[in-house]
Amino acid sequence: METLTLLLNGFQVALQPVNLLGAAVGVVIGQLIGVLPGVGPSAAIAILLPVTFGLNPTTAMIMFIGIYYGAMYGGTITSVLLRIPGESASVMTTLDGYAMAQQGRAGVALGIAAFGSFIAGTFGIIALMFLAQPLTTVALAFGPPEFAALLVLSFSLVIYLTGRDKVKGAVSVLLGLWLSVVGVDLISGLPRFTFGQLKLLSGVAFVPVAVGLFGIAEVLLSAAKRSPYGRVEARFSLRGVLPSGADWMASRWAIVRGTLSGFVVGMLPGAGATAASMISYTIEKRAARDPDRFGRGAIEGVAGPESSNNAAAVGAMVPLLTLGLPGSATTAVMLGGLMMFGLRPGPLLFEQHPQFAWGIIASMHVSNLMLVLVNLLAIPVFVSVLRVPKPVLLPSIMALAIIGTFSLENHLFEVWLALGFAALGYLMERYEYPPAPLVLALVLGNTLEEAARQSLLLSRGSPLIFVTRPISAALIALTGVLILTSLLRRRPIVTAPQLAKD
Amino acid sequence: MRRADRLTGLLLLAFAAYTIVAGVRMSYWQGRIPGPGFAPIWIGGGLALAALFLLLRRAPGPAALQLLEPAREEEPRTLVARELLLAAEIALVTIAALLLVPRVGMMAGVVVLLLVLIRLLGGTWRSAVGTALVLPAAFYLLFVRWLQVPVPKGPWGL
Repeated sequence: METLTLLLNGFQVALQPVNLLGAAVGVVIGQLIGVLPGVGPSAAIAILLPVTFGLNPTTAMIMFIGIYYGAMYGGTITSVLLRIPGESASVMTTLDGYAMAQQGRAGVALGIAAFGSFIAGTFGIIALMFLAQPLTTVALAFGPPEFAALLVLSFSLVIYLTGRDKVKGAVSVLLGLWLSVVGVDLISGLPRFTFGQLKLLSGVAFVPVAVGLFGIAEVLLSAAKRSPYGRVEARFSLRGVLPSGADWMASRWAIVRGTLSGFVVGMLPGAGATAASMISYTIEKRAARDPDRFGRGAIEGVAGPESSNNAAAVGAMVPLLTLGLPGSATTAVMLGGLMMFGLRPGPLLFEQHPQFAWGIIASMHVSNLMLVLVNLLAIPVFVSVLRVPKPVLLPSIMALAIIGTFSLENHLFEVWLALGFAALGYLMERYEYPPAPLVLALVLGNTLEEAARQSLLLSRGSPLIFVTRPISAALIALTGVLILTSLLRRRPIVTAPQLAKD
Repeated sequence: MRRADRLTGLLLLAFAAYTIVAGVRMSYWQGRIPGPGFAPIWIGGGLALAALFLLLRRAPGPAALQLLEPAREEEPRTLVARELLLAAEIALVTIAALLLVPRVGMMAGVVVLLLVLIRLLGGTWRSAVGTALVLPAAFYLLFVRWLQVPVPKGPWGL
């Protein structure tokens, strides 16, 4: 009952005209970004962060969530029509979505994906509503040792689930942690690794790192890739995207299974929507009576993964909002943005800023509804974006990234920093070091250091504090199991070239 | 890729050594409280360990280290070289445009960046000139007029 009252209050925030506009703009931008291969939601949010500084934090966050949602679906359009996933969470949709398009059922594939996404999103938000309160209560019982142990476990999970090479994942996390210690040490006041630069005394700013690693690096990488632009001539009507009764019957369980598995996977740090869609596809193929149909236009092969990636996008919001732990690159960028607005997601967010927290949850319902409406009515508009030639698009993104980064501090230093991180991001992608763990570690590094140092302060220097308290001992034991499993297991649980970029 | 891993391992090892030395100088303990060197020493230790994994795997050693080596396909060298060259060209154009910004202003710098990059990526002169006129105008309205960002101005007051 209390949850429903809080939600109703949240709707009062979400339905304010400015927030409705924020959701609409976010969903449309997200769809556009999802359609454009090479530009992911994390890059889009990072590049748009400076633009949102004029907005209030609630509207900005509502817009970011809209972008995340929209991008999940936008990628579906190119997956179905061109067999090119707009972003990594739509990779699995290329298999059966494109086959359906070749059979003249592109509209139905896009339609079932839209409805599946809506159902999954709605379920995810309801689950988030009811999980938020209990998880917040648990998190409030956490002291510094528990938080330190939880963060160590999160980083281990990110390394374990991200990419196929765990050593490279670990290097990425450690580089992020290193960057997080740059600046004046808050306890002793000593500058660390600032190299005499006054600008570095307050630490490495988050936005230039995110813009460089995700935005500009993607421009450098996409420039040399084969372009799908200008290849779409398909036309759609509203009737053409509505699934028939038989289509619904065939895909109903795929939507249910995709929703449930996606939500659970989305909550795990490092797994994200890409892993969720892959797991859903595997489940559907195993559950099918005639798995041979998969890859040849099976509607369940579209309905399952598409429901799953949207449920995962909502699932990722659970640890972000309740524990302050982002599980993916996009949620890490969102966390960085919130911190710049002076908000710290975590258990206290629901206590100190209930209007904000529940406003966000209510606006997710609004964005979800907008998404399905926009999807059904405006697919041709999004498809036409692919007619923007790559030689125009990539330089435009570069120019926006530069001026956006400049506007952070009104100084070129941040732009040079972003360029430096773009070079690092390019090399990391080129040599298969996942950049997402670096950003996660940069955002959470200070919290980990603070929690570890406070714990040792409490125990007067004894590290036994981490294993003598039951919750932190359990979390440390889980981390140990994870590391041992990593050493003994040849293949990671999930592999994908672009994993955890969502 | 194996060479790249080895080179990265060596660089990381040097970086880890530097981090540990800097951490020791900052001091690990301050009385009974962890000092400013606490985190750098742990991070440096972790980086050194990761660097050793990168350097030692596939070499004779503990089986666990070899299990961490993933299977991988090598790319043709010409393709890699072409991609690297294009990325380097884009980076150089961007650096040149940024160096121009304090002298000619942000908007003129963006115009130059767009013109050169669009042509470099194979765009037509028409699309280059059109974009270089429309986009900076939109940025001017958004960032300078709406968000009041004090961008560097050139001799033309823009």
